[in-house]
Amino acid sequence: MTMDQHDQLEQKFKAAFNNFEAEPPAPVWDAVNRELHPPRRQFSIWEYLDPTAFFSNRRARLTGVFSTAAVILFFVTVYFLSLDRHIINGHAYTGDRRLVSGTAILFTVQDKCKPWDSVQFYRTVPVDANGYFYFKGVDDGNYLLRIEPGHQPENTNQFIASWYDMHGDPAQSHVIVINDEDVRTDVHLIRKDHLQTGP
Amino acid sequence: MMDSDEDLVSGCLKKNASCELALYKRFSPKMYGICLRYAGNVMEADEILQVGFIRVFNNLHRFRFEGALEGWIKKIIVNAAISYLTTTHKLQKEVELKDFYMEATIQEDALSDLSEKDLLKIIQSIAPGHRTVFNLYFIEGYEHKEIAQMLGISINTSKTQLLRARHSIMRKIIKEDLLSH
Repeated sequence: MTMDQHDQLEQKFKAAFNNFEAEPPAPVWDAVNRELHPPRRQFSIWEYLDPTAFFSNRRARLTGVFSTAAVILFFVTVYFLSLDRHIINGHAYTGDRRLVSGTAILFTVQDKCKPWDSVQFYRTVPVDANGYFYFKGVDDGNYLLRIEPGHQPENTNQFIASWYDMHGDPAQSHVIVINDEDVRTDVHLIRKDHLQTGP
Repeated sequence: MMDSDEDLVSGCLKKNASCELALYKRFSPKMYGICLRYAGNVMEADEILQVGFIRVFNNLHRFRFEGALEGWIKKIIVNAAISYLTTTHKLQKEVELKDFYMEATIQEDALSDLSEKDLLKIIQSIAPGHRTVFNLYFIEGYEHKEIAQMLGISINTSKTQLLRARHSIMRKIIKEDLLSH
C-alpha cells in the first residue's frame, strides 16, 4: 500500500464521516427521558406490608422501617406517660337518684391529716346527665373530692355541694389515696336539711 | 422559531422537558453518526448514544459557553463511546510495534466506489481497539499522545493500532473490490 493510498483512504473516511448524521431510533430518547424524569410510583399500603417489596424496594424498606419505628415510639411514649397515672371515676347521687348536672372538683392534700394550708386545686371535670364523673391521668397522691350540683329538677333541688363522702365540711371529708391503682368512688350529696349547723 | 443553544441549555437546567427534547433532536443525529463509527453494530451505537446523552444532561450545568455546545456534546459522546468499548471489549492495552505493509494494491476506483454505508460497514467490522484509534486519529483529529492518555495505552500502542486499523480497512476494501468484480 503506497502513501498515496493511505492519504486517499484517510481523505475518503474524513469526507464521509465529517458531517455524517443518522437518525437515532425513538427508544433511545425514551430511555434518556426516563432517566431524566423517572416516573414516580405510588405504593399502596399492601405493597408496604408485602415482605418481598420490603426486601426488594429501597423506598418501601425505608418507609416500613420508619413507620414501624414511629409506631413503636408512639406506644413507648404513651406507656411512659401513663406510668403513675390513674383514674378516679364514679357517680354522684342526690338521694336515690343520680345527679343530672354538676361539677366534680379534685384537690390535692399533703396527707390524710389534711393540713388545710396544703390543700390545692388540682382539676375539675363536668358531671354528666347520668351523674358520672371521670378524672384521667391522675398522679399518685392524696386527694379530696367535691361535687357541686348544677341546675337540678325541682324535687331534687334540695342538695348542696358535698365532699366525699357525704360531708359539707372539708375537714370531715375522706381523703382518697391514689397509689398504683385506679379508684372508683361514688359520691352522695347531702341534703340541705341534714347539714349540721354549729352550736 | 429555533431556540438558541443558550436558551436550550437554560431550559434544560430548569428541567423543562420540551427544551430537553429540542436539544436532543438538534444534536442527536450527528452524535448518533459518531456512535455508529465507534460501535460495532447498531445496538451498541444506541447504547452509547443513550449513556452519552444522559451524561450530557447530567453535566449541562458545567457547560460555560466558552466553546460551541456541539463540540462539548461531541466530546462527551466520544468519551462515552471509549468508556463503553473499554468496559465491553477490553481494548487491547499493549501491542508490539511492528512494521506493517501490504503487498496488494487497491484499484484506483475501488475507493471512490464506496458509499458512506459501505465505509461504515467496513469500520464497524474491524477490531474495536483499531476502530477507536482510527476514529480518534483520523476523524476527530487527536494526536497519538492524546489518544494514549484517553485510552490508557502507550503512544507506540496507539500508533500500532492505527497501522493495524489501516491494514484491516484496506484488506476489507480489497476484498469488497474483488467480490464486486
